[in-house]
Amino acid sequence: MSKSRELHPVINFGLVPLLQLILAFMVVGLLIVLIGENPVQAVQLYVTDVLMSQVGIGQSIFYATTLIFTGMAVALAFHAGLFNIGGEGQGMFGGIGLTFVALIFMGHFTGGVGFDLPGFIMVPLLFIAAAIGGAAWAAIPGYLQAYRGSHLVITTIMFNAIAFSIILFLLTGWFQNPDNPGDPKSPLLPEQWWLWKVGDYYQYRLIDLEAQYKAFKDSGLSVPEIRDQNPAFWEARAQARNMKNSAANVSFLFAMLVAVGFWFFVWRTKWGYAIRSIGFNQTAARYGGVNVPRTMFMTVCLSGALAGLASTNIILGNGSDSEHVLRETGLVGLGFVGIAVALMGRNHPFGIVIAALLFGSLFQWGEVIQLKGQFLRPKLNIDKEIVVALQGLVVLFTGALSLMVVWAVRWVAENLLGGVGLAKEIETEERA
Amino acid sequence: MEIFELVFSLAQSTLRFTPILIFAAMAGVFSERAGIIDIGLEGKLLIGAFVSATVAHYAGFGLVGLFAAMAVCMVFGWLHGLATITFRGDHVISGLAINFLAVGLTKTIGHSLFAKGGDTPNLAGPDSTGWERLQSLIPKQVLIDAFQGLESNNVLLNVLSLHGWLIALAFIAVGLTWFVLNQTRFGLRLRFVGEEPQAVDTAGASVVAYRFAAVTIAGALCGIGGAYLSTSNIASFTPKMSADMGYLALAAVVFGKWRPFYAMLGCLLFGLLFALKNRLNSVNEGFLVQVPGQLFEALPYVLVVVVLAGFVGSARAPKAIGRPYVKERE
Repeated sequence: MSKSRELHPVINFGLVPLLQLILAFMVVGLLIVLIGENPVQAVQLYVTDVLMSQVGIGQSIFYATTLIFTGMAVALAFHAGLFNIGGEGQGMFGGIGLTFVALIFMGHFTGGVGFDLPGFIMVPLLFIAAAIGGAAWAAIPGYLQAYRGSHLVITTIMFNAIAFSIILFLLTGWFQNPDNPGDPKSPLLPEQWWLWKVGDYYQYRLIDLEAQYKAFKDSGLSVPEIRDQNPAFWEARAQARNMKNSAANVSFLFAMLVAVGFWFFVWRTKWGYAIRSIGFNQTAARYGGVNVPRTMFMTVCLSGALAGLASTNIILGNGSDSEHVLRETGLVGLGFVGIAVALMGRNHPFGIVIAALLFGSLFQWGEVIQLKGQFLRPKLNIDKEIVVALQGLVVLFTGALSLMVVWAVRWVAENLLGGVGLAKEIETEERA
Repeated sequence: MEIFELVFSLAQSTLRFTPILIFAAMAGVFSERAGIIDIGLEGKLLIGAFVSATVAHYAGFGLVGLFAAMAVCMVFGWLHGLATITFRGDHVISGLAINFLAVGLTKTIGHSLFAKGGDTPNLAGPDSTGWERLQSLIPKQVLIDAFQGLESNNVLLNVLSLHGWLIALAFIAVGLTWFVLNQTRFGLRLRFVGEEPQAVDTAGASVVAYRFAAVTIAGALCGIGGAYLSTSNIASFTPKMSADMGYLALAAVVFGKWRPFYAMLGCLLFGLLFALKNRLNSVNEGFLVQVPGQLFEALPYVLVVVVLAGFVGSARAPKAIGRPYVKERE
């Protein structure tokens, strides 16, 4: 008989992930010390240039948007007891689907004869194309898992590699921008299809501000004079110039909507019930009338669709005006980070959004370290890939070594705190 | 004559590439036959490559780098064991974590040690007096200096300074893996741990110990593979140089139905495809009409999916793979 009681939900879903995260951060701090840099300085940079900076927050939200999608993709499959590692490839195929439809309407394949549709028609269409692209790429591994029993992990790994080859093939061939043959990327998507981003507002304001600046200059003022006489104007202009490429865009709101939809779908619909039931016990699910292979197949396809949607943020919502294109490196590994996000967020959309924001900000932190570390005094010389190591540690502690922390907390609760923090009801004893 | 030259150069390039896959695949065979899924082959290869190149640079001896790589990779194998065996964590998640860690750690540490964007310094060449690379066991120049009067085409000299002794070791490792798994009591029990852990437990052997032995061996083999990659195949480490070869090796294990010799054949096939792709990228051969290089790159992966789909025979994984072993009574 097993005497151990489960942890109280507050401890289980609050304290345990926090401890796991702290462990991961401690190891990274140790790593920074070992390579002879100052971890305090690195944390300072995180606070000043990511958390306290408008640009930093904007970029964090931009990365987080992608991560919410890839995280939910992993989480949905987890609910069915499946492990979809293919987020990277499915995200790429979302991008391929999106770009394919966009290029048709741009007349890329028909010698410039296209339909110049407005954004409110095209953007939903492109979102659907991205979802279908991702779902289509997940469909084959999903089918093989559901009907032929091939291990989804291995097939999706293979499909990531194949997707990378295909995207390179397309970008050096059919999808290639004819004006720029050296660079493997697609033609630039027209501006009316781009998503509204925070930077647009500042770009709009900057028109006025720059006109005013010009008026000041024309009236014979020197630059320091303008700055000293109109501090409010000067600050507004500096902020607008700083923020005009801020990439946080409306697809973050869309991602939140999808997260709510995810919650409703998984916990409030019969399809979600079927998915969770095959995750708990396939035999029981089959006995309960669930078509196990079909549910599996549909889950993987939906999971792929979610991963495919991640590309909308990257292509349509990009902060840089020249980067509204398909690139093979567009996802920058965020498809894999979705696994960490799902683990950290305990497969619940609320947790996923929080974890995505955390990882988004960490991703931005890596960029900041790379860009600004050189100019600090004393220098902070850390490679941005340290964020990848941090992700690995988070995956390790929240995923693979999860029980280590759980057991430790339970041991403390049982032996040192006299049962404080354990759930009220005693778990049913196991029968031999 | 041209066709002969082509075949020869293809064979040579296949042989140069395959050992990486073979070492990693044998690591995969050991751990998967013991019931441990090892996605972390990729990461351990990368770590092995980094450690061997770095240590060889500082120590001045390639062999020291090789042993250091084996040791560090064993530690990462134990980490995998700790997560999957002791704490019953998910094998795939643990392996992924190791892969993330490998990419992050090698680049971060490499950047801070050498400030070359994660690259390690070039190791001294094969035929000079340098001991840093592992290409030949003993550098030719050293032998010539040691035994005055030896001619440079002396048989003994050529054997001792044999290029690519690690390539030979890779094929020996296949035989050894087969022997250990199929001809020894250790191997029998190791295989049983992957199929019916309860049976091993009942027989009085420790499932945990055998599984840890498997991840240790896998780590050591990955270390050799990594060392071959960065100190024998080429002369330095570059970030992400394992380039999915660990996954490819895992694919070869599945392709070979978890048997050493078949896995080796899979590695050779993938190596050949890789060589063909390189050949196609460098020159456009007349008879191989304009096949896009990307297509060849994807071919090994497509082949594995086809095998996994059960269209070519059946691929049956060890029965207890990926499942933690919990004793019935503790």
